[in-house]
Amino acid sequence: MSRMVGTISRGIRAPIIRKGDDIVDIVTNSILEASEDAGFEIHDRDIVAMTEAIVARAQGNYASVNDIAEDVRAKFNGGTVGVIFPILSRNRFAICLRGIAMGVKKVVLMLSYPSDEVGNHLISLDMLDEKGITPYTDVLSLEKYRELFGYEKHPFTGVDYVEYYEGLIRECGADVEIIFANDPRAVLKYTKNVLNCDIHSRFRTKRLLRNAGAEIVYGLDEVLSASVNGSGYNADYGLLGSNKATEDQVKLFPRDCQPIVDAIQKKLYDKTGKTVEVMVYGDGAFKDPVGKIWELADPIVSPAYTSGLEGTPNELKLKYLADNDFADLSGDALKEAIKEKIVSKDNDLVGNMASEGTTPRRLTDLIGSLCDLTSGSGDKGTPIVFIQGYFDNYTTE
Amino acid sequence: MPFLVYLSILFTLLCLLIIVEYIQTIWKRLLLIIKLKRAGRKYGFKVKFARFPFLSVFFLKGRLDVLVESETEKYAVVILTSRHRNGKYLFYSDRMEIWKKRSIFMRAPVNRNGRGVYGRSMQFNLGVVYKGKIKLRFNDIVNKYPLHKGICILNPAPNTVCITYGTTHTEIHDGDRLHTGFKVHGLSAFIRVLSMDHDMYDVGGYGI
Repeated sequence: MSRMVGTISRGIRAPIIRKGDDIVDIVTNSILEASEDAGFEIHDRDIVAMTEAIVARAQGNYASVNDIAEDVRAKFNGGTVGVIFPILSRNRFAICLRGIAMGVKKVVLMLSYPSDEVGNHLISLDMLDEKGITPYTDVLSLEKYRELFGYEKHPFTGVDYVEYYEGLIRECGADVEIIFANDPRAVLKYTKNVLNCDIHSRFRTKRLLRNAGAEIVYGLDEVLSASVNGSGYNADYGLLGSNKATEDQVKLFPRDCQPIVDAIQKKLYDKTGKTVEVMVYGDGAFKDPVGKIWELADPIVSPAYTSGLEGTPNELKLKYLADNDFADLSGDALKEAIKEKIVSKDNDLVGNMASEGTTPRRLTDLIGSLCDLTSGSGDKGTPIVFIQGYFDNYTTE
Repeated sequence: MPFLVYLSILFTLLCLLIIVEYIQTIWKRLLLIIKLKRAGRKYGFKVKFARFPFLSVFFLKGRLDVLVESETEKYAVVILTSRHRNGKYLFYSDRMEIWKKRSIFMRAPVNRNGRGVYGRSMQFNLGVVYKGKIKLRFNDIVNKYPLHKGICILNPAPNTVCITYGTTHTEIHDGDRLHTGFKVHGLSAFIRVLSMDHDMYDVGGYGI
């Protein structure tokens, strides 16, 4: 009988990881024990993935609000700062905002509308249409916003983020002014010192601000890009990708992950003789169709991965072949013809390129989505994911 | 005596035939050396040739060709040169080793619409396929120069680069790792990497 199962994704349970734990040992042993327990074999090109959270926990990559405040104070000299385009999240941004507010005298908080960068809506598009507001150009003050839209709560969390962020800043002893705009340059009427907190559009935002005459511009990726008083840090992403750890602490995105994935790959090779691909993953980069929220508040899906996970899949579209090239075949003849086409793929590349054409997402983004959905972020206790058969195709037996 | 003359003429013709075959490649390599040297001077990098720079045109063993170094950045460069533009490289990965499997070079693509063509697409009519399993010694280079960033320059810039694992193909893009510690670049994309804070910019394509 021919093979009936394609890709298999397994959540692997692991011990609770604390600062100083050897993540290489834990991941390797968990995979080997799971293999014995569940009775599966490890093959070449299987994939081991682990959440960024366990790597950061093992590294002890934490920072306090005081560390954030000190870094912000040093960067902006403690004056008025425009904090623009933060995401609306108690877990992701609230602690960071407290640190920022503690480091300055006044915060001009500029929120994008109708939603933040990852799709958390302040108001609906329908409400904008109803009030005749053009989000591309209109800049709203807090008074105008309240007059037009009242007190809107987030559909999932039940929080009015405008009120929540305003309260947080005042609690930290800073003055606050809130505006709503989608052009970063709108903040320059209020202050020339800007901290842009957007994630994926941060380079463009910085460029626009600098070209428009901003004097001091930093991104959230530059706050805690170096250690402050022995705190954790991330040289590449700073506070981006951080999560709330306690009421006064954030867990930063893990750093220096490449040696970890390479060491796990080598250790598994030494133990099993198989070349397994290894990656660290964060948010899975997919969108919730109901809440309209993108699961991509981390700056990247995978901060480190072995070289076999580089690139994008290059595949043939089976449905295209079945509907066009082999439209007159069916059953076993069709199956064999398609298999033959796949096997001779690298000989036929001179030929018709039309049969290629799948959405060119990167492998790490695709696998990161699969892993994030497999492990979840709650109480499953499976921060390690083991994937088999991801690189197999219709011809693989 | 006339026999020797004929023989030498024949030998010369044969040599010429082989050289003509490689003239374009040698010319491309010369241009590459000039561009790399010029970029090195402009952006403060020392460009040192690890072996005679034209050698890898004839002996494609994937050995180290150039060392590009500044005070802060060091690159170990392997150059793969071909005679054709718009190529498709296929590499083969086997147990942590990389082999160059074949290269396919195509004439300029022609836009075609018609029956059996999926939307507006491109079809390549003529192509040249070079086969040959060549071991690229990236592991040796990584071990010998652990502080250098490995770069594999594909010159001229290809259209597509694929790594094959059995019947599975993965397409890699400019700046992606071809192998542990080795990234793949087109020449102009590599020069852009030397010239700027490349994290700030999307290099895009192979720098055609």
